[in-house]
Amino acid sequence: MPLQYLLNLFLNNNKMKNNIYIISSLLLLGLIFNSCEKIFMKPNPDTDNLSIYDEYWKLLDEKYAMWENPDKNLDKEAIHTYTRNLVNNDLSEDSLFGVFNYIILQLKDGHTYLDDEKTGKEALYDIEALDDINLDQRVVDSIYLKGDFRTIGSTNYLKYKLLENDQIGYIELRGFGAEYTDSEVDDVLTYFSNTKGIIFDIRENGGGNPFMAILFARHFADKEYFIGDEYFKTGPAPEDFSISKMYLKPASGVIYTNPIKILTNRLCFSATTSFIYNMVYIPYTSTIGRRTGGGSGSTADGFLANGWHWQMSTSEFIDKDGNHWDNGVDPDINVQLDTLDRSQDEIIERAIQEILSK
Amino acid sequence: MKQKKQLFKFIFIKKQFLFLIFLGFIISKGFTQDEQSSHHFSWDITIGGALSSFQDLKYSEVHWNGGGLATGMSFIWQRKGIHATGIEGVISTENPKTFDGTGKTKAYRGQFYYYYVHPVKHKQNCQLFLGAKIDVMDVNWRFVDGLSNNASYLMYGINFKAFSNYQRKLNDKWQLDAQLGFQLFSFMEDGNSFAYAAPQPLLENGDYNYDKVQLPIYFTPFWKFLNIETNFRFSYGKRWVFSYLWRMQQSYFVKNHKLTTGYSAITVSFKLISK
Repeated sequence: MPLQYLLNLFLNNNKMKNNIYIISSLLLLGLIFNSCEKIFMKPNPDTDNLSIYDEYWKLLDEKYAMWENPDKNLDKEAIHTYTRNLVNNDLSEDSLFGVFNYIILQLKDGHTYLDDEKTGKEALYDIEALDDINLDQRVVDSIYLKGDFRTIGSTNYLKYKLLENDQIGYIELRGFGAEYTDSEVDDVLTYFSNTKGIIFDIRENGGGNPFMAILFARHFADKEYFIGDEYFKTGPAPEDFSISKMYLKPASGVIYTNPIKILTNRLCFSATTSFIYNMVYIPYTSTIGRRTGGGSGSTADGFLANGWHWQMSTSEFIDKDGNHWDNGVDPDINVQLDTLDRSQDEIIERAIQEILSK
Repeated sequence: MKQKKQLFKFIFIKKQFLFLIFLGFIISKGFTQDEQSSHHFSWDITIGGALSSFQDLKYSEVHWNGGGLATGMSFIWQRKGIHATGIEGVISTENPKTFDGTGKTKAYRGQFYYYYVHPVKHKQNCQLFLGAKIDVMDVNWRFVDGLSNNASYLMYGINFKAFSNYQRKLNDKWQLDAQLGFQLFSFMEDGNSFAYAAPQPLLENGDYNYDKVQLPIYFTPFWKFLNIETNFRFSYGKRWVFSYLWRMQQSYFVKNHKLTTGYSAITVSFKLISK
């Protein structure tokens, strides 16, 4: 028998036998080590309703940064007790989602939401519902931009042009999602170098990359400004916060120091809020329009064990005067848009008037 | 774009990497001068398959598991001791264990290393070497579908390990090298803190700002960053090497919130040069 012959050959040869022992031992060792890292891991979590609820509440309890924000007036224990009693393992998925929706509405925070990609369900605090939009883009396009404007970057997110016989620079930026460079901003401000002031229209700018917001703000800072503190959640205990001091430093390129009027509405949110709170301590800057949307914290996101995607505010910015920005702030000059009058944009007109009257 | 900038800075700006490459070169030169003239040199390229896994307790207890491609290249020269340098990479697709439809993750793991092991015991056809290994660059980079701020996750470091190699000639054709490495200390960055996509010590020190991307590295002892690797290399003749490799690392910057990741790979290497 060939098999028996081979076995005898191996077993009667001491050197070969020795090698077989060694190789077998090593292969066994290899098998033991295979995916051995899992031994060091915690087991996968359960996905029943109560486990999912407890997982989500633990995340909120430990990571959410604004439980103590006085503008929100939250009673954490009451929310927990009430909602935990609503949940059991017989509850439908929709009902469980509804419980989470209730929690999220209490937080009054547009950055904190839950969504289920499979069903398209979303639980979020809708900042759009808090005020009129106060922007009619058709009016801006037809009366002010007139199809004759400049842009920077690879997108049309930022449009700029001269208004009022070249006395005023107008910048429209509806998002901080695109990437810009200092030299591109230099180009815009060089183009506006002979103007009396700039209107920076960031109404309906829902945010994007805070690094971009700061990049723009730095081109309006004539010196370094201390603007406030950012409180980051750094551990599970309620007091586990670190504080980073936030400064606005001048850019190394072109700095514009004539009056700047920032146009705001309720949809100025997230990175746009960062842009505004970086600008407000510059003395030649003011805001015109309507209350902002907030979203002052940085966010983290992840998945619950059933695949629902969560996001929440895990830091909070408090300015140097102690103001919380997450529920929005009022502008320096409150102006409401008359949506029935399409011959002008009252907020832009007020900004023009403010600049030319100086 | 932010991630591209991070990688660019990571590769080109960190002076520490250049310093360590230089250090490795000096060490190798020092050892080389002491050794005898008979030597073996090889240059091999590697390809194979890998199984990988990941769990970050800062955010979830769910395991991410998957498989992918393992590849690499190494230069090994042996006189009395063994010097080796090379790169290893694993690209894998991992999925969450408890749900589907989202969370699919592209995971990139890579090391650029140098090690030297010195012979300490010799007996007939086997030899034990002990020495040290430096992962001049050890990168874990992940992209998670369905996330926003936490979609990109970068962890990288410079690892210093105790390293051993047990070499045994099995017969005229086959040779085994069984290697074991154990982390002593590291300089590393974990891009995710307890609740934000920024390094935990950076936040704890109050150093975070939105002016620029910051990628500091921090001294991390082995009890905060456990890193183990094993490699069983079966060399056949002058040209072929068949390997089974396992690497795992477990780190924490926030107490009781460990991050664990690892992979096993079976590979075949072909020696382009073997003399």
